[in-house]
Amino acid sequence: MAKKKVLLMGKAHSGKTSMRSIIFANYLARDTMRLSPTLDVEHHHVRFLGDLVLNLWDCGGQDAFYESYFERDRETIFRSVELLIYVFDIESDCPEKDFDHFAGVLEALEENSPDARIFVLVHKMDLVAEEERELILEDRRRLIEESCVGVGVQHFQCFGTSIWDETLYKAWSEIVTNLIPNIGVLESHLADFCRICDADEVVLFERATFLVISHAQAKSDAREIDDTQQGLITGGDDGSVASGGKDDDAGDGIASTLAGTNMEGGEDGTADETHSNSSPIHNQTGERGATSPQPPMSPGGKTDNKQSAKPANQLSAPSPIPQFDAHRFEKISNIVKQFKLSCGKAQSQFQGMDVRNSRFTAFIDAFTANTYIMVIVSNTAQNSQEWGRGVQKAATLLNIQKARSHFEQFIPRS
Amino acid sequence: GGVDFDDPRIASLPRILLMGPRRAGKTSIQRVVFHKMSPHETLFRLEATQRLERAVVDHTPLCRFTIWDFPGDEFGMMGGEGGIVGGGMDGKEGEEGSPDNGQQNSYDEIFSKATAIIFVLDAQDEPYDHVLQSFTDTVTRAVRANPTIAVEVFVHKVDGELFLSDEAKYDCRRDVMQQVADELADAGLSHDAIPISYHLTSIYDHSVFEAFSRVVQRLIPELPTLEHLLNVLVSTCSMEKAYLFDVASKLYISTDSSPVDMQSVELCSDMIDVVLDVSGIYGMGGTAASKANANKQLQDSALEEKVDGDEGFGDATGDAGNKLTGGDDMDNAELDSPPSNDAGEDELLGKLIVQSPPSPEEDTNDADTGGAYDSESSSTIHLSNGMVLYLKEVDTMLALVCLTRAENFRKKSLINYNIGCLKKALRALPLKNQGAAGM
Ligand SMILES: Nc1nc2c(ncn2[C@@H]2O[C@H](COP(=O)(O)OP(=O)(O)OP(=O)(O)O)[C@@H](O)[C@H]2O)c(=O)[nH]1
Ligand SMILES: Nc1nc2c(ncn2[C@@H]2O[C@H](COP(=O)(O)OP(=O)(O)O)[C@@H](O)[C@H]2O)c(=O)[nH]1
Ligand SMILES: [Mg+2]
Repeated sequence: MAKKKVLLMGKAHSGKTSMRSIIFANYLARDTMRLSPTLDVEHHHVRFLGDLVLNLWDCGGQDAFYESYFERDRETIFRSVELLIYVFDIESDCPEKDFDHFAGVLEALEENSPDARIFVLVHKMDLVAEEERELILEDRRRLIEESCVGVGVQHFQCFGTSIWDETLYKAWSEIVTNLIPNIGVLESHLADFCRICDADEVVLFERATFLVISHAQAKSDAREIDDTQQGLITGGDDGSVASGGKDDDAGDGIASTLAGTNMEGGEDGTADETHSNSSPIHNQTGERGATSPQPPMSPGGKTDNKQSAKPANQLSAPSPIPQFDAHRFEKISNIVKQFKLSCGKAQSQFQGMDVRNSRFTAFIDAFTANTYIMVIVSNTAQNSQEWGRGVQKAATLLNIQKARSHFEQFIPRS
Repeated sequence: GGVDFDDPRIASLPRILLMGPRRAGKTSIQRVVFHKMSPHETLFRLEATQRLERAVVDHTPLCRFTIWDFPGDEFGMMGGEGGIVGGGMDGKEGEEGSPDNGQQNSYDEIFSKATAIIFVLDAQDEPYDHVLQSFTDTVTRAVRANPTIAVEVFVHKVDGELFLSDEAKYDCRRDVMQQVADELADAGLSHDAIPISYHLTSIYDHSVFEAFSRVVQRLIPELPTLEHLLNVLVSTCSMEKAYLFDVASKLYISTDSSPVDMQSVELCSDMIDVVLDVSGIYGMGGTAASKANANKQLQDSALEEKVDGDEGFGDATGDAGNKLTGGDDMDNAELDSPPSNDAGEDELLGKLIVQSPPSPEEDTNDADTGGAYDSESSSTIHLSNGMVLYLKEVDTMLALVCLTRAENFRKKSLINYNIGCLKKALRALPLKNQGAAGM
């Protein structure tokens, strides 16, 4: 079990405790109005990904405290620091003093923990008019850089943040992924999984905080790889949906056998096929198979596919991967975390969900013990019909289930 | 673009008046519920309302009305005789000379044409005596001008230090009710003669949506039919609860007749956020290629609808009702009336609604939800307590959200089929509040 010391510093009332509480203690943004000022140093141990323990030193920001940080407690505070998060309040009434303190902190850190990574958050950006944000942030960034250069600090990252939008998640995702060892391995496996699922995108979230820890996007050339080898169900690109079961020779070790391809047994089944029925349909009667026309798994369906597939099959065409919103990951973090809190209020937890419209389906599901996964599949000609989407959904859910235990070993434990 | 509120199609929509003293929170309520403004933004983005501001709410055919947000300054004088709406109408600068301005409406006229008054009281601004005095005067006058007007009191801002416990909120409501009763008695009116509903609200939680839902439900003439349809769906599919939500505002406009549990409404409403937000990110098209694909999809689905219609719609409209009821006689004859010209009108309606702006404001965020929420929108959420939330599109910007046990959710195709029946029944409903159809 690895403990990582993280210093959280910045002037009083700059929002340190608010951020920490939202990210790690499930506060809602509006709850932070009730926080009382941090006195001296508060130590918090927060768990991340199960085994990673962040030892957060939330350092009260009143001037009097700084004197002791810089003098009496200098070593205690600045020794063996893994990471520094310094928070600037955009509305600060005395920025010069903030920068004095900042320079002092950098200096003490250089001296005691020269390898510490440095993150600077320019906070409460919501108080700046949207059209001015970029400019003001740029200006601050320049000042911060000057401070850093002044004490010989080369590397730092700077983010504009606000507890009222997704920028908070962007910054903190970046911060925590810096503490995860071997994240590269995880990324490459996620890329494989993305390809196998025929997904546009796969994103991995830490379970408690919903911070993004890794993601993978479809590559244009990825389609050429023969995914029938994987023993996982593909989205039906090549009609291999029902083939499955090629167990252990799965090249890169992802998943093994299919649990049997009787998709009809899937909880989802397929939909809307019962036009012919004239009597009231009761949920309990369970006669679905009896009266419905031949359901999707039939070879007939497959031929249909092939015919309609060609013209609109953007997947095999070179390149066009949808261009999604650059801030989507942190937006999703924010959205799902909010919903998670709502579930909490209703004395429940959410386990998994799917969301779709005519263009896509998103699956968000509990994944390994410490993660959630999101899989985005866009709608193609194959699955445009209701039953096609039923198959696609069943396949994706099965893939997620199969990949669970496999991924368990790649989620870093330190 | 400006909306012509004198256009008969808009003028005939139900009207909700927002009244109350300055800074009570009227405009905030309107922005938070209908423009997705986040509550904390109201702290620094709203200025005092200078003149009457009107807005059309028209996301979904079943739920259409106009909201009239009055300046707090005028509140004190509304009760007085001969009051005139000062400051002209609708605060767009440079419109001073518009004909609208010349024809000043008296409050009597406004009340006589209104469907509901929401009176907003700032619960954090004690004492209430003076305000409640004005309120009583206003109500007295309104009821005289329009005996059927619905009077709703929002005991508002019940949040923060003063209202940490539910007890404090209930106490506050009781005080207000008592004072109003006393005032009315002084004015020689019995409290029973004027039905007044009281709601505890705050923009910082779900309560304001809940209260507004209740207000809006009273505007919908088809409510009993909707409730009946939902009852049948719930019992046929063994669901726990079903709601019809106006997706854009997240107000629920109807539910089955089993008791409403605030927590479940809130969860359903939060689910709508998830669906809109996630779809806004991944379901809006993107590159030209996927847009083309999406267009194709849309055509496909349009085609599907048509085939659907050819196959069964004509005779299924009545039929659908029957299936849902499981043989029960629909006590609503309207459903069985032949859909003669209805179908065409429905089609037209559908088209027009998509195009009509959800509100006349320039800065609407909600304008783009239309693209994210489409005819194939749906979502399933599994909860750890064995419940499933299921959302499905049933009409333009209208969602059915149901709460069901996982074991009753296995036959999803049957649930979908029955929801399909509900959808058809909804489309076959002759709508009474058709006013804005031609916008
Ligand atoms: N605590 C709290 N504050 C609220 C609530 N609703 C509104 N406010 C605040 O009340 C203040 C006044 O809100 P407005 O919406 O401008 O009030 P109004 O009734 O429209 O006022 P006039 O336009 O002057 O008549 C704003 O600062 C809001 O942030 C609430 O539910 N709780
Ligand atoms: N507008 C705005 N206010 C914030 C933000 N973050 C925190 N605050 C507020 O700032 C105040 C002080 O925050 P707190 O976390 O106690 O600051 P600390 O002393 O640095 O720990 C609280 O009232 C928060 O609600 C933000 O991003 N935007
Ligand atoms: Mg106002």
